[in-house]
Amino acid sequence: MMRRIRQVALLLIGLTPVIFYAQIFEGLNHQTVYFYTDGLPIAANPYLVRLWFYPIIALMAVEFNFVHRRLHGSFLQNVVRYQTREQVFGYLYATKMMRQMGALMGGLIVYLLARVTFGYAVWLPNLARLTLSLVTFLLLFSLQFVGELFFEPLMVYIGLNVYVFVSISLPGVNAQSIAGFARFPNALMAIRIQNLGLYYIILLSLCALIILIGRRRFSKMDLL
Amino acid sequence: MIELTDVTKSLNGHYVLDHISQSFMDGQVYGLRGKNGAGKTMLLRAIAGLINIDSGQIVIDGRKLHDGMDFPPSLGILIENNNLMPEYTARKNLQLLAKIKKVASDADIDATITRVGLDPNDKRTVKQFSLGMRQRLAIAQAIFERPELILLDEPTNAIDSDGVQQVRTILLEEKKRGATIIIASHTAEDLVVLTDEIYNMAEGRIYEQTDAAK
Repeated sequence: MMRRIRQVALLLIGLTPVIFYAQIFEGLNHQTVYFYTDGLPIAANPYLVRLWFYPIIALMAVEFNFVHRRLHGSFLQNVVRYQTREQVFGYLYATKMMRQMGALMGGLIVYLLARVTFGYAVWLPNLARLTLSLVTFLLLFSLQFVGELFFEPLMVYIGLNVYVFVSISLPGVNAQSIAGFARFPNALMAIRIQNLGLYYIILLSLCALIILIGRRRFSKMDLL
Repeated sequence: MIELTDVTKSLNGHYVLDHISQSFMDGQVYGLRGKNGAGKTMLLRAIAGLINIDSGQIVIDGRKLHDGMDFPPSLGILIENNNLMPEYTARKNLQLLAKIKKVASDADIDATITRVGLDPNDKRTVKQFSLGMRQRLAIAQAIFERPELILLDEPTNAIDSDGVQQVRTILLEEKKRGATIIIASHTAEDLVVLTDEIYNMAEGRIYEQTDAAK
């Protein structure tokens, strides 16, 4: 029962701003979707940025405490049925990413449907920007997943949300500077990034590194 | 055959497994007895590959654990909690587990659920089960794939005396099949009924062997 209530609450927290945003935002550039495809343009109202941030809070809470629940609860007899820890890690990672990315895509569909309902013209997303935004989410969710192997899930959750909020509140990202990469959550608003190709490489490399660190940590963990 | 050589594990500066060397032969039922914190469950977890030991080695049928093999290849396990999905039926729970190794059929699942005294056609979900029924299902999940090694922690928890007898029958059948079974319990009575040999544990060490028949 509590699980259902939590899921409904998350859905409301995530979708209400999506629908509200879809209703009020008139768009700045022709043929631009914004939101989780292009993100917001630099000129957007700061209040919109904050509104835009709430669904991220909800997305990060999808399957909250996933790793701990899976390793210390009903998943233990599943674990020993695999041959290697790498397989278990891969299964856990894939499951969590699919659920969070699935929720993200669901939110995007709701946004587009809401735009149609409110009478706005709906353009097909710019695929290069959409993918960059999705890869950034993947990196963010991967950080959360691996972070939970080292620290308390709540600490990781709060830390990452603060990091994302501070990062996206600081515009003017120079994709070719260290500071620009350190503020990678800016790429959630893909329109801010000038050198898409370089950013793709950096994000995917970071993602691979995070997965390797997680896999190494998982192979040494005691499943108590 | 399982061979433990000088196995140690410490947590927070305290030995939970203290230089344990022990062999477990195929087709035997072993008991581990001791108070809470004696190291019984930790020993089962070490053999299951769930914890990384600090030193020593665990060899299962000639293959060293954590050296190209993270978990024993044919293992059934019941540790501490009834680790089952509460929102599914008994059959669905086992079907989900069966998808990983793909060695048990639906017929095997139904037969095992019946063996432990439950109804495979029961539409109730696990959260509607009594504690005893959950424990029976937990035993079913440990044996339905006919594993060569079965590790059971307090398997008779919440099971009545008739149920204990039923567990005994099941374990004898599994032993006859050639499975090695290790049971941890803090009560001597269950182990005397269920096992061939009992090892007493305290402070992470095995310090005494008792023949269960005596």
